[in-house]
Formats: sequence, structure tokens, C-alpha cells
Amino acid sequence: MHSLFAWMVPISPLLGCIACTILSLRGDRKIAHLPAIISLVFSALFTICLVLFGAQGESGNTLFEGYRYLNVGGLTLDISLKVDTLCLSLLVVVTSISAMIAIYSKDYMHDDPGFARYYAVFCGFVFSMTMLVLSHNLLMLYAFWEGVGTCSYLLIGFWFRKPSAAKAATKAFLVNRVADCFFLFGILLLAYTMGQTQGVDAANFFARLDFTNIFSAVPLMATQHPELLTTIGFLLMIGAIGKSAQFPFHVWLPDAMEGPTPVSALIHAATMVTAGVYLMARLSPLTESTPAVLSAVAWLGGITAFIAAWMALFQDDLKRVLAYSTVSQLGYLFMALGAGAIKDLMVVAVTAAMFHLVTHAFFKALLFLSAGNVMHAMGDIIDMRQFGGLRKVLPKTNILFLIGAAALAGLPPLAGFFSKDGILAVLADASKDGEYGNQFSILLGIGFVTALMTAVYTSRAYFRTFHGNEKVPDEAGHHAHEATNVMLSPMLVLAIGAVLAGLALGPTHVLGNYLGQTPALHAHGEHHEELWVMAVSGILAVVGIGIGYGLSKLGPSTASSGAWVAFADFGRNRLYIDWVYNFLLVAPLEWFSRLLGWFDTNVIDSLAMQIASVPRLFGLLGQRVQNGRLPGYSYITAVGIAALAVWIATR
Amino acid sequence: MLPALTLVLGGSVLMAASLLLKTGANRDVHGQRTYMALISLALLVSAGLFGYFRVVPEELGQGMFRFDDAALASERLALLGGLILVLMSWSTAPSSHLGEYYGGLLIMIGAVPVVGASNDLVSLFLGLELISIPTYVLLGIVKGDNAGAEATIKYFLLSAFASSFFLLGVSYLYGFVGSTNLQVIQSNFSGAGRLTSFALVLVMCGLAFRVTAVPFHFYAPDVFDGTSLTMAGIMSYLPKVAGFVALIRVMGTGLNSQTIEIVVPVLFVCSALTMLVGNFFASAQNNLRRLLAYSSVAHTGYLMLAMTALLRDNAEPNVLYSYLAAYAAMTLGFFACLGEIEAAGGKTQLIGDLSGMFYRRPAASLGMTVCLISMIGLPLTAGFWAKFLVFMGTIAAGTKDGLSIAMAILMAFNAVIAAGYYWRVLSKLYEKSDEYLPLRVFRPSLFVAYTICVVLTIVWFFVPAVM
Repeated sequence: MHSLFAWMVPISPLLGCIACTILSLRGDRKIAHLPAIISLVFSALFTICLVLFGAQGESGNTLFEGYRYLNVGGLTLDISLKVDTLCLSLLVVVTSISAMIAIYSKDYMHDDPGFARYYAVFCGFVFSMTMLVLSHNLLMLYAFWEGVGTCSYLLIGFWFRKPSAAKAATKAFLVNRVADCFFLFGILLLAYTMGQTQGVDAANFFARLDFTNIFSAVPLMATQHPELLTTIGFLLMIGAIGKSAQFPFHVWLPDAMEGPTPVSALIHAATMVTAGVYLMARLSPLTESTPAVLSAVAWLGGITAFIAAWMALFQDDLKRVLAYSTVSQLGYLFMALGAGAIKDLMVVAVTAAMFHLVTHAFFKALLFLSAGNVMHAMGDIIDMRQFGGLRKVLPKTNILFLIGAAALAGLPPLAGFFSKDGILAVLADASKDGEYGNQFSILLGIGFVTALMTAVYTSRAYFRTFHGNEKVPDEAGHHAHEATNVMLSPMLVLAIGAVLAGLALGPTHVLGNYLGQTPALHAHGEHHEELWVMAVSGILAVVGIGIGYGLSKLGPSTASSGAWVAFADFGRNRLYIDWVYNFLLVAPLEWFSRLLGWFDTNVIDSLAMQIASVPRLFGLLGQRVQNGRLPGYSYITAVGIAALAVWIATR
Repeated sequence: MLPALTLVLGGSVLMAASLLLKTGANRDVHGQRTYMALISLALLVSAGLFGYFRVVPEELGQGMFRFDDAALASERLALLGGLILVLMSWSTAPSSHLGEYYGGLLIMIGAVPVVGASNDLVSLFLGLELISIPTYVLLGIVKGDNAGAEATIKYFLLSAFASSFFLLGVSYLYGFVGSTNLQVIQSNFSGAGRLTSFALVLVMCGLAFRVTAVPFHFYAPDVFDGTSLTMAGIMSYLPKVAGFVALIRVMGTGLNSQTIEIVVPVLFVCSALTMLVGNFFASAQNNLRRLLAYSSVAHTGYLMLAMTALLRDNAEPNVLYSYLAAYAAMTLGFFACLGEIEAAGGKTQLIGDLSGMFYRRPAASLGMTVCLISMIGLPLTAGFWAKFLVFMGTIAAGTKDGLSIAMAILMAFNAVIAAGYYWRVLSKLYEKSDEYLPLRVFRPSLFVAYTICVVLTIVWFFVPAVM
């Protein structure tokens, strides 16, 4: 029974995907949302069943065997699902939020000619994502890792006729590709190292990469090949930070906002970008033995959290503010994961990261959908300079956005407060360590500063959009209206999550105890609730909101001192990181590819065309034999058999 | 034997019933078509059920028929192909001779398992003729059609010519042992000399005609060109399955370590020639029917390679059957798509006729796309595994056997040539053309036929174990 439920979680969206694909081929614009929504709701229900019935079992993880995909020579591929509490907690987030957003999209996308195509890719994404989460094997995880990447590409470039969307899709795909390349090398190196390690059962390349096998081999590898294990850790980490848009791979995520807003909410805020965090959490038994990797993770997370918040301060595009904020919050998650560098803190670190992941998914999805409502009402205008004071025009969206923003800013007692506090508390704990303490003290500082900046940019965006003088752009026409109930009701559910999830899961240790059932996260380290951290982060949130309110009143063009202008300039221009990439990487590569292009057309192509014409030439020559005359045919046949007979007789 | 009996007897009854069918101007053609097709489908389904619930005895015995893996596989292949072929025939069968048509078709389908289960040279030959004779009938079923008549005569004469080789080889085998039972022949087969090898090669030549191997392929393009699409589909599939199963049957008995060394190179040469001739000639074609005929020849080449792997125990025993299953889905699916276009009033004679077909008939074009991708052997389709397994089976002989490696390389080389001409067809489908005359006539039976093929082609990629 559990096996059926577990399999239905990915299969249900797959069926939805197939149905929507067929509908999109028929050019449907009316009913494509039905199969998608039904399949996604079913997927969410099956996930909840798995949680309620405790599908992880007594031992904490259960393998649901699927089928043997392939058995050729020494290569055996088994497709199976592995269920434990770590993956279930992410699975609940993925399936429930995707069902909500699918319902929301029904009215948001209803005028789009690609309505059915949208839902087809949407379901395809949920299928890949659930399979990714449920994978029992690192290689299988990688396959679906690419699957979600492809769906993300298709959805960012959903309006592919718009050059900026096509460009953004390509950028996201290529940046991810670079990171995935390292990831793949990491997987292959891991398989190789396991094959080289004495005492590891290394019969089959694919079976070797099963998570259980990997984790049981880690202690042996750590003693026999410590330097290789560190390299593997770094390579896998690059894969994770690429998908989760961490510095230096963060450049693709803000551009990804070219896709439809519900997609930004689902893929680029709530689910896919957390795959990297999930990967690091999943591999925590491996990274435990490589503290150097984890401290790098913490630093990258810290840098990203800070610079993304900096950039978010100076964006005028509402969705981009949210995008940078996502990058910044993901930085928090990586900071928390990095705290696992200290041996006893691993479990607490993973728990804190998963906790913030869950709450962030709710309030960030809510914020994006609210931004979607604004965009819908404003005639696809999302630049905050062109509208303002919308609290009368969009009264309900105003409240929903306010809840999401307060949660993001970390205002107690909303979700974001508890989960962010959890991360800061872990960092505070880590700063007491002898070896890494100093590092984590600095990171804790960054965490506090970023928390302040988060509150500032969130409240600024809120007050600029909804308060002040009412201003509506011409594109909105005269009927700027509140979103429909179909759009508002899923948002309400998300809002409830944003308010209550923190209180329900955090201080009660529900999530912590639940995750503790996963074998790898068993050992509970000592963790102290630090009241001063809580107090400081609460005060910072309030102060930040105040500053943000003040800034929104001042307006954009009130720069006074030189340092502030430079600070703002850097933030507005994304710290010139994109520019540097363009200058150092993209331009030389384009030049090189032009060279290769010349070589390709003039040398390889002409050669290939010559070779390609040879079979045709032979065929034309041979056609003379095929002249339609029976005597000729039987003559050639007889000669052929005679030749065979002679050949055999003379051997 | 019940499934085969059901089909052969049912086919005979249908043929007899054709005497009772009303002829003349005021008959109900539509009703007759529907009833005939439905009866045929019912017969196929009941044959399938008989096959499904059959209890295979532990001891297979030494009688005329023997239900080993080859027999069961050939039965399944015949029923699968038969289902698609009957669906294709529903709207394309010649309305003047419905009874004869369906009767002949069912007998052909039923004869494949007869060949597959044969444990005796006599019954084997009987099964093969049970396929050939209805083929003559079906080819010439439309009277007054010159191209059809020409195709029929050519096929008839060459088939007789080839059968004579088969019988000559069989009579040698009988001569060595004094029995026609294949197992008796196998247990008493001590001969290792050239004569026995020669006998086996003669048998192989006789069967090479059924599978359209070089140099017995000549009839294929002429016949495909001169007959209906459904008939071309039948010709490209049923005799091929029967031929290969018969080859396994006969060659399997006569092989020991000495003869294998003589027979395998012969198979290699045949396979190499078949691949090369099929692909070279196909790439020179602008005529779609002839292209398909040559492509079917080329697939025979790959199948013969699969057979060498099978005979040398280098591959999984299902390598040949899974290739045939993938081949059934992709080829019959392609013919069904073409049939639908033709039924809707489009032309399918030349490759150029398909220009812009995606904009005129999207569903069939997508079906053809999947089938063509499968024929090329790209992933996401069953054709990929089919080719991959053959390739693996061929190189499994290892580095010590240079000839096998060379054959594998030749196969890869041929796959590239094949990709070239399949791609030519594929790109035609999506060509922007000036005329966007949509073809609107809808034939549910053909649609169902190619949908089954497309779904199987894709599903088999993900679950190759059931192929």
C-alpha cells in the first residue's frame, strides 16, 4: 500500500503532463488546467498519506522497488524510490505548493495561447522534482536534476518570442550547465573512488551510487582517500550551489523572472532552487567527513546572502527584489548547512536549514503570487516607479503581501522569524567552536546585517507598492481590478502557512523530531536556544521595517553623500558581476565560437557533405541492377548462391 | 496450438463466408467492413486469451510442435502485429473481396506461430507455405490493377525459386539423419563437413527470401511500390518474423562448434551486404515506398547480426525478438500513419508528397516522427534499445574476434547512413509549404493503430524488460 502511494506521487503529475501535452497538441485553451490540477492535488494527497501513515517505516527509510530498467552485460539499472523523513518533508512542500500554484495559474494564465503547454511543462516539472527528491541513487537523482533544469528552461523561456525571455532561459540553462558539469564529475569521481577503496562492495557502477552504499563507504574512503573525498565534496557542492543560485552562480536567478510569475513562485522561489539545499542535506553523512567543504559552503552562503540583499535594496522591479531576496535567503540556508563543519552541529544545522526552507517556500511563494496579482492588475507592468499606493485598488492582495513581507522580514511571531532565528542560533552555537569559531562569528555578523537589510528592502518594496499616492500606469487601462477568487484562495492557504508554520514547527521541535527519524540525522547534538539571538533578530526586523518605510518616503533620487551613491550604484548594477562575467567569459567565448563556426562551415561541413553524398552515389549506381526484370533478379540470386557454395567448398 | 488453430480455422471460415456476402450495387459495404474487422479482432483476442492461459508442460516432448521460448515469442509477435494490421485493414481493405482479404490475413497471422512452434521440417515448411500462399492472394486481390499483378507475379516466381533452395537444403538434412524431426536431427547430427554446412547455407538462402536478405531482396521495392500500403505493411512484417523464427529453428539444430565457424561468417557476409545494399539504395530514393522497402532490407541486416549473436550465445535470448517487436511498432506504425494520410486524400508515393504534412495532418505526422526516430535508433524510443542490444551482442564476442568488432563498426556506420535518409523524410514533414490544405477525414481504426504503435515505441524505451 505504501509502495503504491509512493509511486503515485510522481506518476500522478506524469499522467497530468501527458494529458496536457496531448491537449496542447490539439491547441486547447479551455480545459488543460483540469488534468494538471487534479493530478497535482492527488500527488499532494498521496504525499500527505505517506506522511500520516509513516511510510519511512521503523528503520527510518524504506526502499520501494520499481523495476529493473536495464540489464545489459555488467550494467544493471534499478529504478526505485527511497522514502525517509528528510525527503518527505521536502515532498510535502513541493507537492502542496505546486498544487496551490496550479490552481492560481488557472486564472492567471487563462488568456495565454500557450495555456496547455504551460500546464504540460508545469506537471513535467513536478514529476521531475518529486523523482529527484525520492531518488535512491545519486545517478538517478542527477538524471532528474537535469529534468527539473530542462523544465525550468522551458518555463523561463515560456514567452520565447520575447528576446529577453529567450536570453534569460539560455542564461539560466548555461549557468546551470557549468555547475552540473562539475556535479557530474563529482558523481563519477565518487564512483571511481568507491571502486578503488578496499573493503567496499563495488560490483556494479550504478548500484554503487546508491545512497546507502555511499554512506556506508564514507568512513573507509575518509581513511583511505581523504584528499579525493574532499575533491568529491567540492565538486558536488558546486552542483548544489549552481542549482540554488549561490555566488558565483547566482546570476541566472534574477533573469529567470522573465517567466510567468507563478513559475517564478514555484520553481525559482519555493522548490527547484532548494534542490541544492536538499542535495547537501541528503549528502550530510558524506560532507561530515569533509569540514573544509562545509566551511566553504558557509562562506559562499554568507557572501551570497549579503550581496544579494545589497542588490535587492536598489532594485525598482518588484519581482527582481523578490528574486534577489530568494538568492539571499538561500544564502542563509547554505550558511546553516555550513555550520555542519563542526562535528556535533551537523544534525542541528540540517534541521535549521530544512526548517527555513519549508517556511521560506510558503512566504516567498505568497509574495511572488501577490506580485503576480499586481502585475496582472497593472497590465504586466512590474516596475515600482510606475505604480504606487495600490492598497485601495488591490485591498486583498495588500493584506496577503503584507503577511508575506512581514514573514520575510522576520517579524515575530510569523514563520520567517522562527526559522531565521533557528539559523542564527546555529551560527551562534558554531561561533563557540575552537577551530572554526572565528569564521562563524563573522558569519553570524553577516547574518544579522543581512537580516536587517532583508527587513529594509522588504518593507520598502511593500510601502512603495501599496502606500503613498495612488498611481496606476496607462497599460493597466481603466479596469485595474483585484484578482479573482480562484487566484486568491490558494494564496490564503499559503498565507496561513506563512503565519503559522514557524510557530507550529519550530519551537515545538516537531520538524526537528520528525527529521530525526532519518538514520543519517539520528544523533541529536547539544543545541542551546539563545534568547539574545532571538531578541536581536526581532529588534533588527522592527528597525529594518522602520528604515524601509523611511526610504520609501524619500524616493529613489535623494542621494546625499558620495559613499552612499557608490553603494547604491553598485547595488543597482548588480555589483558589476554580470558585467565582469560578460567581459571575462562570455565575450572571449563568443569570439572563439565564431572562429569555430567558420571552421565548421568551411571545413567540417563541406567535408561532411562530400562524405554524405557517397551512399547516395552508390545507391544511384546500384539502381541499374534493380531494373524490374525478373530474369535479372533470379540470375543475380543464383550467382550469389553459387558464389557462396564455392566459398564454402574451398575453405 | 490453440491460438494458431483459432486463427487459421477462423480465417478459413471467413474465406468461406465470403461466398455468402452480398455483392452487387446495393450491398452494405460499410457494415460488411465493420463486421469483418470486428470478427477478425475477436478471433485475434480469443487467440491471445488462449495463448495467455495456456499451460506449458514441463516436458516439452519431441512431437511435431514444441512450445519453447521461440514459439511463445513468435506467437506474441504475430498477435501484436496482427492486431495492428487488422486495425489498419479496417478502412483500407479492398471492398470487393473482404472475406478473402481477412481470411488470408488471419491465416498468415496464424501461420507465424505454426512456424515458431514447429519441431519438424515438414510442419515448418507447411507453416511457411501457409504464409506464402495467402500472400499471393492478397497481393493480387484487386483485379485489373496492372502494378499489383506485376508485383504478384514477381513475388510468386521468386518465392517459388527461393522455396526450392529451402527444400533442397532440407532434403540434405533429411539425408544425413533419416528423420525430419528437428530434435532427432540435432541429437544425431555428427556431420561437420562442408556438405552439412552447405545444406545449412542452402536452408538459409531459402529463408533469406522471406526476410528480404541480399541477394533475395529484389522483389521488395517492386512489390512495395505496386501494392497498397497495408499490404506493404503486412509484407514487411509477417514473413520476416516467420523467416527469422524458422532460421533459429533450423540453424539451431544443425549447429555445433565446427559448423558454427562456417555458418557465422556466411551470416556476417549476408548481413553486411544486406545492410549496405539496403541503406545505400534507400539513400538514393525519392520514392517513399521504395525507400521503405530498402529500409526494411536494412533492418534485416541488423536482425541477421542479432542472429549471429544469438547463435553464439553472446546475447540475451530475447535480443532478436525485442528487435522484431520494436520493428513491428515502428514500421507498422509508420505505415498506419501513411495509410491515414492516404485515406484522408493525401498522396504518399514520393517523399516530396509529405512536404508540410505536419501543418496538414498533425497527429499522423507526430506519429511518423516518433516512428522515424525509432527507426534511426535515437533514445526515448524502442528502436534505441533494439539497436543497442544488437550492438552489444555483436561486440560481446570480445576483442579476440576481430570480425565481430568489424561488423559492429559496420553496423554503426550503416546506422549513420540510415539516419541520413530517415532524417530527409522527417524534415520534409515540417517543411513550410505554400499549400496548407488540411486533411480532415478521420479514420478511428488507423488512428488507434498508430497510437498503439507510438505508445509502445515510447513505453518500451522506459520499460525495456517487457519488450
